[in-house]
Order: sequence, then structure tokens, then C-alpha cells
Amino acid sequence: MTPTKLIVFRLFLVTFGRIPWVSKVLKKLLVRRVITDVKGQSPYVAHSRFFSVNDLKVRPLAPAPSMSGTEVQPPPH
Amino acid sequence: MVTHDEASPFLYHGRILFERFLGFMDREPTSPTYGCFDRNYWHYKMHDFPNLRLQEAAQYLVIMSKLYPEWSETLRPLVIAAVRFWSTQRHREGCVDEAYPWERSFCATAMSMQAVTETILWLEEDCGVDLLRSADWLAENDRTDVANQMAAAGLALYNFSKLTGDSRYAAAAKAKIDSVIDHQLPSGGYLEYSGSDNGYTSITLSSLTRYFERTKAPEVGLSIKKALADLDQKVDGFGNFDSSQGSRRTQFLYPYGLTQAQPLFGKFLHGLSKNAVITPLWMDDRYCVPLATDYLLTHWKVLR
Repeated sequence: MTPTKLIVFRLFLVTFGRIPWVSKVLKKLLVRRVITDVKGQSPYVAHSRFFSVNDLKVRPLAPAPSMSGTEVQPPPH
Repeated sequence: MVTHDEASPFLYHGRILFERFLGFMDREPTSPTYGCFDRNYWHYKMHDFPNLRLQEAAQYLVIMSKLYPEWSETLRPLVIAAVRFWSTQRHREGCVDEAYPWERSFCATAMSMQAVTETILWLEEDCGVDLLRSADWLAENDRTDVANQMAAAGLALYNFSKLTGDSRYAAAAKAKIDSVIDHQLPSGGYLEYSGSDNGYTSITLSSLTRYFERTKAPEVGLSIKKALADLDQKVDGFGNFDSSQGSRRTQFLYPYGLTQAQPLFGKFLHGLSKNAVITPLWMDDRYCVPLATDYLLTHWKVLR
């Protein structure tokens, strides 16, 4: 949404959008456009894309350096 | 304000947002937006109309006032202010907006009316608002392909009939609930646009379960059983499921409708104890309110 599109959309809403049947048709078009007829990509879903615990990828820690007195080798580049 | 430990995980995860919700609200009685929960509207002035779904926080506050009677005196006027603000912002026909002006949203009207009627029932006071035009609008309008909205509308209309004693609205409620059951998918899930979705099925179950508890309608009980069996198959031992398969990709579960189902409820509780399920704290400002309310309702019902 750009500022220009938003202004045009808002002007439409506060003029023709006040008419109940226009509002109903607009709603149907929006639902079709952003929810039901979206192909090839994820539809707009207000109630999703929250952080979930599965998003945390736990990486195994590097092994601790040896305490036996031998020198720890730097990792290869 | 809340400092002591609680044994109930639902109370813990539900009440953790208490102070945050109070911060959402315009609590200044002399303000023209007194009772409004949309901070972007009344405080930051970033929106030119309020999202009335946020007024559902009234139900959250009234449950808190029952759970913590010592706060009742403070919370009760705020609850009434929230309901009155919702009432004054409705369209003449009784419907409300959520996303844009003159939207006349069935979803927002059903959900917020359900919360307002539940609030009035909990409060045992009518708050001085006339709900008739909203009840009429809900009775006349439908979204048969979106079960969670229809179930909320059914519960709202049933509550309204209980408040007014007008049986016509109980019949309108039954029509909404019958439509939800008629559109139930063979798998057991409830219809959400093009298919079933576990998160929305749990929202539908929350409304249907409350409707069933009040009416004892056998067909509703059977429908709930079928949906719970379907959910049980899809949910793993940590209360999680593959959200990519749902028609709306939701990742959460509302617990209230799951309470009678074992092992499903046990799996959810296990996930909750392991911090593996999405709790109200993880949700955004828009959706944390209804989920937190559902957690408090679950606590009230099961573990209190």
C-alpha cells in the first residue's frame, strides 16, 4: 500500500463505501483477492505468522577446549 | 500488581497481560474516548477510527474482577466504560468496523458482540447499552463459509436472548449454530473459507462449547466430539501441529473447547508446561486479547 493508493481507497470508503451494498461488494472482492483466490503464494492471514518455538534453531555448541595442557588448535579457515 | 505464584498455568499465562491491557485503555473518565482500548486511536492518533475488536478486553477485565475481588471496585467502572465505548462507536445498523471505515464487518460484530454479551452476563448489569440493533444485524447477516464467526454470532445471539428473554433470538442463534454444523467437514474440522484450520477450529470450539454448556443441544455435543477427535489426530505430544496444512496457517490453539477431550487437553497442557505452544504473550496487540480471555475462561472452568 502506497500513500496515494491509501488516499484513493479512503476517499472511496468515505463516499461510495458508505452505501451498504457497495460495502458488501467491496468486502467480497477483498476477501476473494487477499484470502480465497490467492494462488502460488501464501494468502494474507491476519491470525498467523507468530513466532513459534520451532523457529528457534538450536545449534550444537562447539566442544570445550581440552584442559589437559595440550594446545587448542584454531579452527581451519 | 500481580505478584504471588499461581498453580494454574492458564491463570498464569492469561493474567500476565493484565497490566498491558490496562495500559491499552483510555482510563480517564473525562476523556471523550474513555473506555477505548485502541491506543493507536485515542493516544497516538495514528488511526482515524478505532478497531472495535479491541473492546473485547472488557470480558477479560470482568473475569479478572471475579478472580480478584479485591480489584473489583477499580475494574467494574472500566468494564462498563469499555462496553459503552463499543456501543457508541457502532453504525446505526448495529454493526462495527475493524479494518477500514464503513466496513460493517460480520467478524468484528460477531466477536465483539459475543464478548460484550458475555461481559454483561458476568457483570450482572446491563451497562446502560441497547444491544437490539446489533442483535438484529447479526441475525440478518451470515458468513456461512467462516465457522468461527458464525459460532461467535450464535453465542452472541443466544446470550442476547438470555438477557432479554426474547426467544426469537434463541431461534436465530440456533440457525447460526446449525449452519456451522451443516458446513462441518467430513474430517471433523470446521470450515474456514476453503478448508479446515486447526487454530480456527479451536476458536469455533470455544464458542460452541459455551453454547453447548448453556443449551445442552445434543447435535452440538456430537459436532464438538467429532471436531475434537479430528484435532486429537493432528496435534502432537507438545500441543503443536503442522500449521502449513491449515486453510489459514494458524499456529495456536484456544484451550477452552479442548478441556473435555483427552488425551488432547493433556498434550496441550504438556506443551504449555514446556513453553512449546503459542501463549497470549506471544501474540500481537490485535490478537492477544481474545486468546488471553480464553485462557482465563479455561482457568475458571477447569482448574479453579
